[in-house]
Amino acid sequence: MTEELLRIDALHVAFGEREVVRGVDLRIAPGEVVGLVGESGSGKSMSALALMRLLPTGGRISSGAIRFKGQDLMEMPQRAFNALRGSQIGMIFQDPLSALNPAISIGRQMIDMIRAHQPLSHGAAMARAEELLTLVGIPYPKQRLLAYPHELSGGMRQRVMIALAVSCNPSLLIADEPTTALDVTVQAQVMDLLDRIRTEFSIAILFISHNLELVAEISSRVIVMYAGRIVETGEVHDLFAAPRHPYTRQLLRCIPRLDGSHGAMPTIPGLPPRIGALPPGCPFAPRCDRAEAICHNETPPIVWHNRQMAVCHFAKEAVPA
Amino acid sequence: MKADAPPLMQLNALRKTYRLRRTLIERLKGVDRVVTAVDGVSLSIQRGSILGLVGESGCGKSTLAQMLVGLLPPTGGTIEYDGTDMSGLAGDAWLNYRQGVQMVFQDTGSSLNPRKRIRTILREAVAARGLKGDCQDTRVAALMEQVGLDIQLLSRYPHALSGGQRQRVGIARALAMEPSLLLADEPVSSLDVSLQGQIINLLRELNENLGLTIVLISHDLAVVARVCDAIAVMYSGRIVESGTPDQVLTAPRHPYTQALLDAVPRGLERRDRKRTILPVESGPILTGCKFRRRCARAVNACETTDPKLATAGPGGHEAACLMVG
Repeated sequence: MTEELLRIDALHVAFGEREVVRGVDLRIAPGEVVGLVGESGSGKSMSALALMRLLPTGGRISSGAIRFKGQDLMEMPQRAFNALRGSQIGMIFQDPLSALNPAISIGRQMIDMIRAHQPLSHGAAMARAEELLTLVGIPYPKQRLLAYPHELSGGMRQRVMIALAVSCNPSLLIADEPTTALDVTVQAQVMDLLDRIRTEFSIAILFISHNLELVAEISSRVIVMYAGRIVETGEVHDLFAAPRHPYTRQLLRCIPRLDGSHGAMPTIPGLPPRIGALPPGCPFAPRCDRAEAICHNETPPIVWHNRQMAVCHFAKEAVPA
Repeated sequence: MKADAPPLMQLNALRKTYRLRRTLIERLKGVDRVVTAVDGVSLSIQRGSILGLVGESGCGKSTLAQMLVGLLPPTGGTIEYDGTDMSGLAGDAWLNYRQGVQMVFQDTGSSLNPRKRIRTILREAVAARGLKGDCQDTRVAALMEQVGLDIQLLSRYPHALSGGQRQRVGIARALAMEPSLLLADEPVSSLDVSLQGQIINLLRELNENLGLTIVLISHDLAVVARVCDAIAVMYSGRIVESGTPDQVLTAPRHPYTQALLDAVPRGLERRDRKRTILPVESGPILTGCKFRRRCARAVNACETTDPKLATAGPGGHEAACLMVG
């Protein structure tokens, strides 16, 4: 791989004694889009929040290393980190309504954000804000600058978030479930916008979602997480053609498709394990359709196949999904 | 599905309008400012079937659902339930209606009381059905089993359950009323993909085992397509296309339905074939087709002529578009 933009090694995040992220390695090259997939509670959001120093109260990075453009983010003083966050790393969240200040107009929030990171006059920042709103496809941008978050639809609010996130030309954008709260038609618009932003700004994106099909639309590499660990990773084409972890296969099967099939939907039985109450052996074994006795007793090995990695006793079997 | 049997519920030109607050000048001039949420919906819900109601936020599908359960009075049109007009109902007949038509909400975080245990929540529901004492506990246990929940969860509070489990409690609460019609308003849109199927399958089982009639409201055609017997696509307060899943999915006639189908995530396939992106909605449309400004196929006539639902294919397939037929 060429020069790395972001490199995370063996990241562990814990709330007290409970580890929610248990050794995550992640590399993102400049301009690359990496998809991070998993169910609620798999640790995908916590990994991203840890990177941004936005962990909820009680959460801390218990061990690991995070390097961004060669700088050690773990050791960086808070002031320097604040300057970097927002200008070099942008983030968009699932719920733009709670990420935007409800009592301040869109324009004011954008101007504050732009001026916090760039030496621009109020007027120049306003012009930039208008330009950004146009870029993300908001009609009547001048009037929208005066609007408050509640006056915009969910899709429009997410566009404002994207405009804010890219306002300082960051080299990395973290998108945490950016379309989960949106309608499918609006989701399509936002995915289209992200794709456009990526080519226009040659920005790297860490795209977090629970929907593998959605992730595959934009990502070149996919990471699948389960119970705080990476269980499979690979180039998106390899992973779709031959998923090597049963969880990835079962996840792919669950996605509602328009293939004309009728009747019961495929599901993954049961629930993800509670953090702090992990079963011995492979944490996915109780829900796995491929599990054998060994899975319930022994921790599965890391198995590499070319550039694809899976953590499973049976990872050598390449079964089409 | 027996098409010749009388429908369980029949909607005739159902309307709901909201009056907006007017400025002083508007009041002096006598100008009315009205928003039409549901604009003349006629629909038959067949006994024992699953009807999928699809459309984006703001299209009026939730307003429609609230009128059906009796939470909102319609502005115009009628709802016939089991052959009787619901608007004249009072007293026991009204209670009977309210019990017979139950709703499952999207957001289980706010539709279950956070300060009550699951047992209390379900007991209240069965008590409303007239059960007392030990009968309540027996019934609550039966309901839990029916929705596939462990009775040990009864002593938990809603926040201690997962989203999927909470949605099952919501369904159990609705079932406590022994309804004949269940309205499920976006029951899976806040759930993980891996859990969506479990809830959809549960609804399907209830339909098969209890003969429960279900209206499944969703913005995602892919979810609806799989389990429904009939699909109605709503746009801007109206039904713009209806038919069986086969008709609507394989031969969609309305451009909006086509856009909805195209919006479903398709992973790698999407890289080779870019989707058509619907333009952003730009203000209300008062004349002609409500979809025309976002429609790639709109012609001049669409600006003036209001398209009505008309036959779009064999077997009752209907669409409201001038370009059809």
